[in-house]
Amino acid sequence: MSWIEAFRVAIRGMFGLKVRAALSMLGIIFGVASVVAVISVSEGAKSEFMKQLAAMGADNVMVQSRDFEGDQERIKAARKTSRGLTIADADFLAAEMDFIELHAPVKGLDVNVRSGDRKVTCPVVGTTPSYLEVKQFRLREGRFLSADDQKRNLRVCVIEEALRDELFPFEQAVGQNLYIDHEPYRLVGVMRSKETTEKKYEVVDISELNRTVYIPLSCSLDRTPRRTLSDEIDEVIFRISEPSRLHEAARLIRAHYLRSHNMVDVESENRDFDVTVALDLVRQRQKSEEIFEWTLLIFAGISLVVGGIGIMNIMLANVTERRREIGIRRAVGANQTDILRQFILEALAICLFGGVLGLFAGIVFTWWVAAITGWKTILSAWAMVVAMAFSLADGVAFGTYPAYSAAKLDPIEALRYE
Amino acid sequence: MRTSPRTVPDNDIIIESRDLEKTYGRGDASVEALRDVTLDVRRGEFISIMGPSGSGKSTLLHVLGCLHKPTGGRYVLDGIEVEDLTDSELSEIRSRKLGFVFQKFNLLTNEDIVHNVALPLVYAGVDLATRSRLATEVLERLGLGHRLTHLPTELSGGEDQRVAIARALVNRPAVIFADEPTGNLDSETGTQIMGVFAELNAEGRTIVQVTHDRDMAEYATRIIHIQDGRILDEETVANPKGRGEGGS
Repeated sequence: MSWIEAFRVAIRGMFGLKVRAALSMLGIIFGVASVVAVISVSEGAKSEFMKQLAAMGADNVMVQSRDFEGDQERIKAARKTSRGLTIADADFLAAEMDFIELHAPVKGLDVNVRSGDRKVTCPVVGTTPSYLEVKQFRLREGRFLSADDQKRNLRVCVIEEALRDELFPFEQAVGQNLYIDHEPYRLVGVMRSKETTEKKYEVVDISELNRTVYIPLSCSLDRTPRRTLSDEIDEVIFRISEPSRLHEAARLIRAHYLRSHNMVDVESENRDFDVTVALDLVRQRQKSEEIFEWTLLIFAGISLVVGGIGIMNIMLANVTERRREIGIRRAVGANQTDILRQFILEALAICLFGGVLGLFAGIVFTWWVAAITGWKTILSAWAMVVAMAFSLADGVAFGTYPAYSAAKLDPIEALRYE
Repeated sequence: MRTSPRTVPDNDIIIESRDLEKTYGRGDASVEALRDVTLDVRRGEFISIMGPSGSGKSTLLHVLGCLHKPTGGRYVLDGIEVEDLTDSELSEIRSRKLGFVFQKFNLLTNEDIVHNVALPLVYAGVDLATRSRLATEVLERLGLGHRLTHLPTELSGGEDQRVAIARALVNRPAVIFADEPTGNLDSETGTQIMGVFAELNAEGRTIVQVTHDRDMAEYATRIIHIQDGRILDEETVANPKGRGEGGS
């Protein structure tokens, strides 16, 4: 018996079952659909994760000062031993430790910004020229802050694309003036915005990033109310030269700050800084997502197994009902292998048909999820291939026993069946 | 398939059974369905096996038709020693050398009659075009050329049995086995069907039928009487029915 003939018989057999075949397909349909949907959603999350990493700089170690949520008592307590995060500290570390490739101190300012008569609400950050490279930003036009600006304490600023589109939609932005705390700053450059599509994956508040105004650090220190600790900053970002030594570097940096801030250990109540690795932050998020994903995939797997049992059930009933046909085929020359193949192919036909329906259901479900939640999803070809392969494997695994029992029927007894 | 070195002294003998035994079950529960059945059938003969129900006549047909294996004795079919072939080898013999006609027609109800007739060729590995051509030819010969695309359920009992005969003929078998071929038909249709068998036999085909109906048995050239699993006696039919004026 040729394969083509065998497949023709299998398809006819499947359509002969109609409603029952459709019902037994449900498990396969749901199984395949959920595999496709889960993988599509998680692929989307992964691509967001990569963008997120790019936005924060995967190989960066960030040291941030803690504000103790404004708890004055604790601030005072910390001040007794520590001078806070300082530029000097950061410069010292960068000079001492050879794995620090670059570093950028960051100081946030709470000041008002005006463009012409218009009041603008946006973050203002003072930093150094290395910030551009540490955060891996690219320029859209003009230039970034320079060492010269820094040294000469020039009143210049760089803004991000989104803010430019807001403030200067029609005119040339570079060369314009922005009034920061009533002082004019000349706009020298525009930075290309980073792709940060969704709030769901935000680890740090990067929605504001695209609207930030950057000024030289020296200017921002000038802006600070004249306290005694004038070189105190909010954050230092260290770029590590060897990604493999990222965690070692983070440990050394933490140790240095503990010592220079006169802290006993990391658990110290008065610890006034946090050391974070960008990669870790995102990885943590990713890990919990992975657990979620595996849970869903296990459910999809269970659905496929249940679907397989459904197929075994219907195929057993099918074999019993079609004993006479089996007897006829055996009498005119079919051997056991022919019968085995016929019924396995029939189970496979159910799985194939159910699998294709499942693929469509999965695609529709993925779109639906994307539409409802706003998550980014990626329909991947390999997910569909894997889902189909599993459903076909299901057909073979659960179709073999009924087919075997059909093949082993005695031809005469099969013919006697009414 | 092997050819026995001891066989074929007489090329004309197509069925040669020696002390055939068939026992169902084991131990105390065993039933001896056939005992010491020794029978030769020559090429071109038409044999009727007669006997009361339970006499073992159907069992004999199943063993001779390679649907069951004998539990003892020797059986040589068309030069092939059958008693220790595998299931798959027996299937191949059925597919290439034998044709079956059953009391209940046993057609596939969801396939049209061309597909039904072509079924043995499917398992003999014949390609689709040839299958359809051969099946159509045989059906036309049996007067069903106008019904090719009908389902078996759309035909009368007599027509269905003709389809079954066509299916038994399509692979040009060495022997056609018929198990009560008229048992489900009224006497007039039964007579017509037996006429078809007589005609086929006149063309030189070897036919073995099982029947309990004396009238139908007399279409054969020889009648074997069987009881309690043994051959009781046999008679030669002097003037077989259905051969027109002169007989065979």
